[in-house]
Amino acid sequence: MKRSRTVAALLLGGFSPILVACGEDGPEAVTVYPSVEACTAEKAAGDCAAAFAAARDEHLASAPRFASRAACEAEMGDGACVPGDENRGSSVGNVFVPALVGFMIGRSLTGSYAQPVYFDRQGYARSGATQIGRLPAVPERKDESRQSSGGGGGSIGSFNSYYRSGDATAGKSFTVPTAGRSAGFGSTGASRGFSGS
Amino acid sequence: MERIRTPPRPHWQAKLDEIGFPFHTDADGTPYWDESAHWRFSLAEIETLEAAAEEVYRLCEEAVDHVVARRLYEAVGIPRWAAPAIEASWAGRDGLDMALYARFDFAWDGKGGPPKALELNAETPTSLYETAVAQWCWLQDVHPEADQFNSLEEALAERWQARMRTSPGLASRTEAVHFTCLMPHPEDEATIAYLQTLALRAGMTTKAMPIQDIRYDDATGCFLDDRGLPIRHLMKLYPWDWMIRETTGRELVTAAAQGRIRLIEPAWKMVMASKGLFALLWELNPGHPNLLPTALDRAGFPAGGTVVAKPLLGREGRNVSIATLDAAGFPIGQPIAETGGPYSDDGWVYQAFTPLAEADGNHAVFGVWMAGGTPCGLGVREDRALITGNTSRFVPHRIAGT
Repeated sequence: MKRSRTVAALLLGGFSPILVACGEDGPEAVTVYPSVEACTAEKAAGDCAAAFAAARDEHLASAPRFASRAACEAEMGDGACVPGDENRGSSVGNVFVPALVGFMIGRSLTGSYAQPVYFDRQGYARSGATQIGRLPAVPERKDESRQSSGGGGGSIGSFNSYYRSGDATAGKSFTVPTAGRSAGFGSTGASRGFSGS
Repeated sequence: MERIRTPPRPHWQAKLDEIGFPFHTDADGTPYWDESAHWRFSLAEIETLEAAAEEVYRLCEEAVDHVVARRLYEAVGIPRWAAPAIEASWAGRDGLDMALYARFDFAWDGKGGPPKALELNAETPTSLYETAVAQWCWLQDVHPEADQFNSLEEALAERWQARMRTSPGLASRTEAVHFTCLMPHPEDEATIAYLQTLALRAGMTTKAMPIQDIRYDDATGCFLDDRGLPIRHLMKLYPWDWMIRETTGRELVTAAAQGRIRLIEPAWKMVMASKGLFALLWELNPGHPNLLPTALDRAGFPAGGTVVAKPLLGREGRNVSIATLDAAGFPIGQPIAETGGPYSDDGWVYQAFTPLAEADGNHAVFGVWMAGGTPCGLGVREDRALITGNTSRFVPHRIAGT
């Protein structure tokens, strides 16, 4: 066979990483939304619950774990974490995990798959299948800092909201260091238009 | 091969919207995605295209090596001062400076002669999502039993995994891959979001940001993201030859040469993406069945021959003209076809004209996708005109016996 067994499809205009299955010819082809409520507004409640359950199970099985809420929030952002044992049926135990903010679901020849995604404090999107490592610390440049509202520019209906931090830092302030100067990239393309070939 | 007219799926626009491809119709209302027809290929034809792509890609790698070894950068339209980044990345091409992807454009009518490579879009190839996802979903809806030359998604996922294996920082998630393009630009943003999806699935830590927001820190020689964190791996849907001529282009050359930042695609792709490479390919492999006579000088073509002139660093079929030349290499009469555009300053490459597959007044270019050096997919672009551009229609395909 010369074709892929699966493809991942993107939902434009959505909030953070929302992917949908293509076609509507099978019970596994479930459209996925950022919340159960958003999903059930358009789809059968049972389908929504099943899709979320699959991603949540994967999340609980593989989410990064932190010994305290403070340790979790230090990495993932203020208010971004929940106790692992709040989730019924979880084997995570007495730890804190980042809240699930979205997930990918793709279509395969035989069904679908789901994988959780969340954002950390710095706006990095991480998939849920792996342990998170340590990222380099933000350089301290408080004297030149400016305040910016969180969210990484992502907004509902905006195309530039792909995989940029959403719920985890929305409405929170954080310090943006202004180290360095603008690299100046993009000026040629902005004057000429599209860049592909 | 055969172009088959087919009724579009009911609500095909909605189906494409649903899978994240709202770019199916151009601003003037004409379809860009065109499923009123599809191309049917035999497996033997697909394997012929596949073998030609694998072979010409190997020749392209040899030609890049030839340019780097002899420092022939100016001949392919690249300034000499970019050499440190190109040479460092070429030395690391089996490791972190590996290629991700590229797309050949082939002309072939399937009537006995071999496919001819027109060019290799080695750095910022377009129509990725249409090829990998939109036509896959079309096939699944319309011909679920049929096959398609399209393992592009799996092949790209494998490239991300290979990159992780070569980088302890990526493998341990202490380093992230930043994904960037001009923003706002919905279509490019969708393309990098798709590539980011595949990197996420491979387990990488990723972040998307506008290319305009990248910063440079003179104290450390590092490029920084919008939160002030150093960028170690940068997937950019934006050409190297533009970046190096922008404000911190020389700093980028130095940082890449010294390994402080790894770009995807790596700097050596600048050489591979130059249309001038095809003149060198012909010089090194004269008469190769999958190549067309190509030169930087138009006087070398036989009188009365039809020749295509393209900018060395052109894109999207802009500033291309087709004309019949006299013995001195000057056009006889008006060009047969030509396009306008902004790429008229950096030199030209001349290539013997060869007809494209033609059916119902449509001229089709066959785009063969590469993941690293491996052919892994096909996207067909059609136009009523002889020159394929960024508004040429994307038409799906399937593989089926005759």
